[in-house]
Amino acid sequence: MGQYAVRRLLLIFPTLLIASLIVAALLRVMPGDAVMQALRESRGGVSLADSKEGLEIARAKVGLKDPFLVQYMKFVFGWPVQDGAVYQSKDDGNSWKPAGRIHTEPIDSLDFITTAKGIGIGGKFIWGTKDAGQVWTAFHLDDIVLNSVTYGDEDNVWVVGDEGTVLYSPEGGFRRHEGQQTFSTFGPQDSGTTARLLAVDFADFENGVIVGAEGTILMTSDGGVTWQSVDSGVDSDLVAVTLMDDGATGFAVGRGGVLLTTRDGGGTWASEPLDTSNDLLAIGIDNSANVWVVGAGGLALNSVDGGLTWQEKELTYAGDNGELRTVGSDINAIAFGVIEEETGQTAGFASTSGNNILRTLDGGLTWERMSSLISRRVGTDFVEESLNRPVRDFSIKITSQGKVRLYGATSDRIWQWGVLGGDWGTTILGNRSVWADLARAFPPTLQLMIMTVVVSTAVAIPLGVLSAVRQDTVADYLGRFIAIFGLAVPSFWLATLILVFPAIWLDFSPPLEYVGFNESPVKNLLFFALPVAVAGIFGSASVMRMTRSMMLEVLRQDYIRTAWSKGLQERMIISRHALKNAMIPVITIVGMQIPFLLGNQVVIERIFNIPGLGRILVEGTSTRDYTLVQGIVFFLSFFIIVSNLIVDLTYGWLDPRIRYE
Amino acid sequence: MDQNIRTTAGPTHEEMVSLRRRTWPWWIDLWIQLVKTKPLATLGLIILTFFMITGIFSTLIAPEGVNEAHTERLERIEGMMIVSSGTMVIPGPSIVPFHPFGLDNVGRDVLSRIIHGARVSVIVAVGAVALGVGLGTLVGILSAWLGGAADTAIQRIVDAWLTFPTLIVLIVVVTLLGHSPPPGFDRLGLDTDQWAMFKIILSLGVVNIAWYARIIRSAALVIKEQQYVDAARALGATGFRIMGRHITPNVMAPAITLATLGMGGAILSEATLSFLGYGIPPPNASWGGMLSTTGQLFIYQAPWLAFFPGVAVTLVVLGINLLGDGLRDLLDPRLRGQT
Repeated sequence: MGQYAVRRLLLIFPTLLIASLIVAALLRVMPGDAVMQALRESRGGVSLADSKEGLEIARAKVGLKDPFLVQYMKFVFGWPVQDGAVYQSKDDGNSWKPAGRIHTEPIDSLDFITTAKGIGIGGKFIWGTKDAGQVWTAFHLDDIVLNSVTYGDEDNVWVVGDEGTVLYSPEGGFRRHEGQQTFSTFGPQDSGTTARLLAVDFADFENGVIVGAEGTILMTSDGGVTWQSVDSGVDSDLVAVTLMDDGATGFAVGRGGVLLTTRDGGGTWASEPLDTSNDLLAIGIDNSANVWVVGAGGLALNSVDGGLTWQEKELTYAGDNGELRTVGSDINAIAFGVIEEETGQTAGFASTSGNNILRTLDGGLTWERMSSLISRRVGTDFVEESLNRPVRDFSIKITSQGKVRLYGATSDRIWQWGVLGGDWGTTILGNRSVWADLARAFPPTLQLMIMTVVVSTAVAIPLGVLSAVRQDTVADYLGRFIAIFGLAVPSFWLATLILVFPAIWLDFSPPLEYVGFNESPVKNLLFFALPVAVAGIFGSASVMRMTRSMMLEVLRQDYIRTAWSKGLQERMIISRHALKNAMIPVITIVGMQIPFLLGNQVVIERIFNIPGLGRILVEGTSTRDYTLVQGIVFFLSFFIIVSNLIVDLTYGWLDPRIRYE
Repeated sequence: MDQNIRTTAGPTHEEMVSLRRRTWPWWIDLWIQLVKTKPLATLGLIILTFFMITGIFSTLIAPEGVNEAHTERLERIEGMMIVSSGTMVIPGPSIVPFHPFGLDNVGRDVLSRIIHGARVSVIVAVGAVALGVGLGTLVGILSAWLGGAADTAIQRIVDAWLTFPTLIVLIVVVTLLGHSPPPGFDRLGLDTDQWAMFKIILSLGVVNIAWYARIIRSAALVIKEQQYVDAARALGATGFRIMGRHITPNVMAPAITLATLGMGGAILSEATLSFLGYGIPPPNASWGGMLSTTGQLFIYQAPWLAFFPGVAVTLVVLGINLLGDGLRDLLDPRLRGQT
């Protein structure tokens, strides 16, 4: 037997080798996204550049041997309110698709500083993305409703909200990681007012303007260290503000047909005399001369001399049957951007409450309607009523300055042969040792695993025996039903129900704070009770079925009949003669369960907030931390191989006839 | 004279009748036997048929569109901010107006979304199983037929593949495939949403090939030793002909069982992936996704959001498992208890 164990142990290595080759193949064939993200955050320095000089930057910064073109794309971003989805067009606005999702709704404001990096505001949340909206993470949660976000430059971000709130982050809004913990980098700035602040814009990282309710205007020329209140001369709510790149010219618009202009970076504001009293909602700047302001009831104002004189325009577009149609509903947003770098061609987009997106390619002379949104007629009304903010069915931000080349490279950091020698590297995010992360996350996972196997086997084997011995009775049917139900019910659903319904009906909620076994064994076991119960239902189902069918087979054998005829007690026959012989396939099933249980534990750990391997796997994949993910996959494979070995060795103890040749 | 009295050694009249009925092709006879002898499996067959029809004709059956919202029925409460967006009262199940499963947080009919979600489940289940069982059968038969070193090599790869926890491999593969389709995908006439579905089908299919290959191989090994295979070889049939004409039809029985049980697994996996956020992105309807995005945020105010999609998953998977068990008992009793 000793020799057998050694041979089984030696088998681990070819299996591990093949397993690692599979992982290597997976990582190798998917260079674009994976490598790009990994490089972007790799500790050796940023090698991704979204400019024409990307190749040179990539070469210079990290000394990459063989950079290659990863992607070549054009982006237009927008956002509707429904479900917090962010919609994105990669073809200059011809088609719109959800780019990613944010788990809150609605999104009220969005700003991108590069094609990849952007921040969105929804309710009290600040969300951010580093990968062009594929994955959004909550960066900050405040007590106050937040209204608007703007980038000054790549590092400096401002967010404004109700009750005079101004939040500022010097790190691009992104969270700071310290060990396991993450911190918001947003901190408050003193605005000196308690008015609702509705919009913010910065020309660079120093000069900015905030507008808000009842004619509030604040300006700063030192990056928000001091904000000074400016007299606007109006008392209606100002809902949008734009500062041009020169830092001097700026526009602000508001309810009741208010349009303000500044020529000195926000220090003094002049009100334009307008014929209309419609609410003005958004400002769009095509170039320093061509400026658009849009508002309620299809109102559009255009200035072709940089805001000196304004003309009212009608936005017309070709309808479905080719007839010319005029926009009559509210125009909620307008934005312009360069889409062809070589020719300087710009595109402008406007969105209306009818959920149309209009596009112009000639500075606003002619408009065409692009595809209507996937989410028709959702959200318009209640946003306006309850939030009393500008209705934004669909707003648009053009982020790219034309075609963008993103360069990445095959890097030695992604895959290291040293993995086979025990060097599992460090995590891409945070630069921690992968081993340390695994060592921290493994105990809860192992404990859950062992408890689940023990509990489910302890429940399943007696149930299976009972079911077989009392075949075709009520107990049998009940047992079989529970087993087949346990295989069909999704664990995440069962876990959710177990958390929710006792909370609603009995006002009972289980502990969801993980406590280590060393700290307090009692609390630890209490914490694990529910997760183990849920995981156990899944785990015990197939063990029970196997026990039942094996027992039925064994009970028909001659030696059982002999035992009966010799007058042995039922208890004796079942425990001594039948059960032990039926156990081998059952033990196999218990062993084969382990990969499934581990997979299932990802869900269980997520719902019950257990800091185990499953949870760091989910975090690792969502942040594209490939070294960590690779480490987890290896570790779990190794774990499963070892557990299979233990199961194999158990056979010999159960059935001495097995010789291990 | 009574026809049923046995007068000679030959079959009675009734036996003749039943013998004549037996002349159905085996794959039709299988279903007749199933309905006759397995009431639970028949129930499963009914559930599966109902689910397939619902999924295929979801746009015709669903009372409302997938993102059609009754925003006017949502009641906002000022000053009751729960977590991120629980500022409203969501109407629960009602018969008039017809929302038997209630509305969700943006006012969409949950019943309609479950019906639309059935289509996603049908496509994923059928696609993943077709891919997995198809390739698995191919690999299994080849492995059994080639034998020797090739068989050993294939089985070691299968061994290694099986040591990975399925769901974890799925998560990794889906993440690696990325959110946006590879260049050229749109030339197939498919968009980003369909890419999400496509990559789940692809990864579910590929991940399960090893399981299917292993079971098909063991069935093919038995058939390989049959005399009719020897006879075919003696007549000069090539390896490909024997595999195609003699072995493949005879491993169809376990393949059908595997396909049925695999569909249940695929539906569960898709729901789990969508729940974890790796699946079908909103606002598309998918059973797992409904529990994840809207269900989790509003679950305490509106438990029906999480309840009904789960019931749908459980019922369909239960039905498919019942059917699979019945088929296995009829076709291949050796597999009992292994799945």
